[in-house]
Amino acid sequence: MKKINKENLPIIITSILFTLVFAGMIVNLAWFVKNDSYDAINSIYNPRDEILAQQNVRGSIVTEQGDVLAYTEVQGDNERRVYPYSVQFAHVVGYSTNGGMGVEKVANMSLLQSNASISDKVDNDLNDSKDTGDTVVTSLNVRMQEVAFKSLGAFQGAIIVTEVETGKILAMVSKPDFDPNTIAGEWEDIINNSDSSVLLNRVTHGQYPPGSTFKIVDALEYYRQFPDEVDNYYYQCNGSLRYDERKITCYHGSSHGGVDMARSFAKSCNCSFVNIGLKLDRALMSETLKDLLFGEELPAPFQSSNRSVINISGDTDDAEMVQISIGQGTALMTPLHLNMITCAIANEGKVMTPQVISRIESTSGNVVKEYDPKVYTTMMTEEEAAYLTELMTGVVENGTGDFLTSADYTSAGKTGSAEYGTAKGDSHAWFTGFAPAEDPKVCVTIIVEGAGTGGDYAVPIAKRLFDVYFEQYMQSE
Amino acid sequence: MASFISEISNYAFVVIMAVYVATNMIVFFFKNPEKHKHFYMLQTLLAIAFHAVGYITLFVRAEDVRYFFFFAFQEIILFALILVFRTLYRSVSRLMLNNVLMLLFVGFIILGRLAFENAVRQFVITIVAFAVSMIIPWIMKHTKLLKKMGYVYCALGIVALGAVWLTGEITNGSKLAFKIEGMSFQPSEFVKIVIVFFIAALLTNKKDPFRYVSSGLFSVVHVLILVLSRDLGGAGIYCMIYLFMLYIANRNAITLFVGAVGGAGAFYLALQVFDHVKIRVQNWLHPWTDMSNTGYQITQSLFAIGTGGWEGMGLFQGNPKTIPYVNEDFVFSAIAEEFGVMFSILLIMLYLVTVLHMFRMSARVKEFFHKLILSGLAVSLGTQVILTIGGGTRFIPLTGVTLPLISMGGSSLTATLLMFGVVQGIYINEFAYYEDGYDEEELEEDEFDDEDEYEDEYDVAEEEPEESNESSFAENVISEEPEDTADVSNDEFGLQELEAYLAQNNVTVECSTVESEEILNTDISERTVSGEFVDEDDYIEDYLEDELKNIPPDYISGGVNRKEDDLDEEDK
Repeated sequence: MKKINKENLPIIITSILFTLVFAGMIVNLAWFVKNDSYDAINSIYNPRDEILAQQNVRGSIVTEQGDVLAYTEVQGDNERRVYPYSVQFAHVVGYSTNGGMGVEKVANMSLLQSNASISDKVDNDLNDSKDTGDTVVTSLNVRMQEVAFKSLGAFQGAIIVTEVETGKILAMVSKPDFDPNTIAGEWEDIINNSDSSVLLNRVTHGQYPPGSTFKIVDALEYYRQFPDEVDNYYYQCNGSLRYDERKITCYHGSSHGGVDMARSFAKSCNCSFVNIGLKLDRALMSETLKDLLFGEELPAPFQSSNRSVINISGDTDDAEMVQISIGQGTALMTPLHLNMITCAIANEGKVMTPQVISRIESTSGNVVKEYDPKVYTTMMTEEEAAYLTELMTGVVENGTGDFLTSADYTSAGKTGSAEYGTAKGDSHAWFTGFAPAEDPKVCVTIIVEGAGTGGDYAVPIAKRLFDVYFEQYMQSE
Repeated sequence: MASFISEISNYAFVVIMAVYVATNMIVFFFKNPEKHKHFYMLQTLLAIAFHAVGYITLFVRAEDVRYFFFFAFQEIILFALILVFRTLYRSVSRLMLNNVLMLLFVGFIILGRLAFENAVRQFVITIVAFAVSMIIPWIMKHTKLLKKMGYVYCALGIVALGAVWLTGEITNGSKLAFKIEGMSFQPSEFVKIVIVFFIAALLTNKKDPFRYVSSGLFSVVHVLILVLSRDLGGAGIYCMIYLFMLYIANRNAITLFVGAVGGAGAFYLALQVFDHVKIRVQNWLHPWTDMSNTGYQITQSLFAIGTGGWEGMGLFQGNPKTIPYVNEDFVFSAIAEEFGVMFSILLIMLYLVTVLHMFRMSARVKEFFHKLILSGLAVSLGTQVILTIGGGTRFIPLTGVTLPLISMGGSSLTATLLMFGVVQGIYINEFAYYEDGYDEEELEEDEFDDEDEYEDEYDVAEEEPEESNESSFAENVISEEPEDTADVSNDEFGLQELEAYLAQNNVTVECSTVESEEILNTDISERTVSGEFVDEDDYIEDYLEDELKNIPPDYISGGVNRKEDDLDEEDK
């Protein structure tokens, strides 16, 4: 056996230590390039897009069904970005000029990088033409987007449709809109017009009072704080209630009479929920709100979104609590956030990361990167989700969402009519819900600005969307 | 068509570098790396090919004929210098020379891609520094004082660092450099070598009972000045140099443990006291939260690496100029972007294998002073590479040091070349006999070449009782006592004892040349000064074993015959 010189043992150990650190450095670098760098370089702070644009033609944006949402037309030295569906996908697909928006912005580097085969690249080199950038495959569905777009009609508002089990976004509509084909030319007008909010994606950035949809949170919190009393809850509704100087009324002042929890929720009884809200421990409630991602950054598919705002702490006084418990006052939510909470209820408490990009392919169809669905966080327990599902099913069966009872599938949801402005009666129509109720597949969240009640204006849109979803996705199975 | 050339040449870079690193690794497993000339020839050719591919690509892409002439000019001047170097010393470490050359070429290409003028400037500095470093082996051979000047190095280092701290120019919050006649001079780069000599000289001198205390104390003074000048990378490198040199000298694993605990404590303290340290650590943990401000440097570096990907964008196809300090601290990110991460990993491996070769040389040299210097320089080089590449790839927080031999920067480049001058000096003084005039084949076949065989054959009592680490530690502590070394340092025993031993074992040494006598004499005295051996008999035997191995067979008459004699006797 070869004997190690004692004098050199420390040198050997030192060499081994250095080798280990160097190996760690190599592994770290390889790990970054293999797993993290692809998404990391997609940043407005990475100035390499211009250089890539000189080398490659921007790739296309398509749906999983193969419909092309955006492509680049090359005529000689001129390149023109074409959006065949024009205004319909305005916010979600976005535009590549003027700082970018939507998929065009988040997948900017993917669209500009080319993973074409070597032989294609050689051919292009010899023909002195550019390589074609990679194709971004989105989870969007042209038919669902069209129905959602047309359903909003002339109203302003937002619609988001997601797949419960994967978090894939099937449709995302925001109105008012713009035409991405001509956005560069109209840019100055849009920017200079401070009243215009066409560039705002209301799904991710619109902050609305949640109105009665917030009763989902109240119910969850009541279930958490008083698990034994939930079944025995009883309240006598007289149509209105006075707190200090303020008068709280149920919708149209209608009196619901004696209500239990399920009926309070189904009928969206304001008085009953003010009663519930005042019973809640506010410090505990702020914990629940944190679980539900209020005030937190959301994993928005476009890297940024507005946070939902709500201020509840141990110090919140009763007057404020009265307002918050019916989703008025200082409470503000984005439709994306409400959609995520609804998805969590539909998915046994776990919310998936909402995603619009399914995968990146090279021009020849080889998958460059696959975006697998992943759980973002757990908002509530399975029992809590089941309880809320039960309440929300009641809304459809014998409550404010009974427009959906005529459908040949079951569904669950919550309506809302969020008052805004000073004039009495001006309200946004909300609906958030999922179908089928017993095995949720699809989740929709709708807000129609200034339309009126959720039951009258938002629920019919939800029905249309559910119908299309089952027509599109279920019959093929 | 042009972009195609960039992409093709990237494949060529990877292939050449892979073969180059492979030859380096193969050489590492050879018993006597000095002997494998054909490998070094191959390496030199690979380096030239690499350089050629790089500059042809630059020439084609930039459509600038200056690149072509500059390439030819570089090759001629560099190889003329190497020729002079090898004529002066006859045997140099060609492995180290090749590795230095390869790294310089990587630097010339990437700097030339960033700006032609940078590469020219780098080349001029290289030539001057290379020429100066050629004197170092001569100085080391002819100056016996080097290891006795411990406190001179110390004073030199502290004065140089202190002067910068007091009067230096402030750049980016740090005081790192003097400006003399428009040239920036950064002493901490040079003091790196000086402190290695300082620590080595002190720890070699076993007669000095305060050597551990004073080497530690003055190293801390160096580090403190650097911390006050806010040169955290430099401070880190100095700490590592001291820690590992101390460990190699006292052979006590507790040193590393104490060092690790102390390092963690110092890091924690720095985190509390210095805001800039806190910001660096925060950006290391969460680089994407502040991309426009404090996280700008690291995110730009990661964008470059990520956009380049495995294969790289190709020369002139990336956008490395957006990375801050791309010529200096972040040159690795530019390499990763344009040459690709595959190449970058090979580059890291080349640095690693160079460091390991230095450690290996350190293990093989006989003089303790040389051993410590080589290890210290290897630690310095290795740590610097870890700090700069690790910082730029978010392996560790950013510290802002240069990539040795590649980054632009006169002081860094000059200091690194001087460092390799020292490595060559030690090599020339320690291993020269392998190549110097003896037939390689003969040496290789000779039984004296193999340590184990030799021990078995002659029953040299090198075997020591089996010892655990703890007991060897105890022994080391004893051996450090000055009274033990006192009799070892007695000059009286030595030649006489040696002759007696040789006579006893029927070996005669013919001191046929003056040179061999010199070797014997000087080595004995040096050996006694280093005072490694407690037991006199052990000492002599160990010494003889070493010496006999090193005396070329020509000098030992009867050596080969003796084996036959012994056998004859046994037969009878």
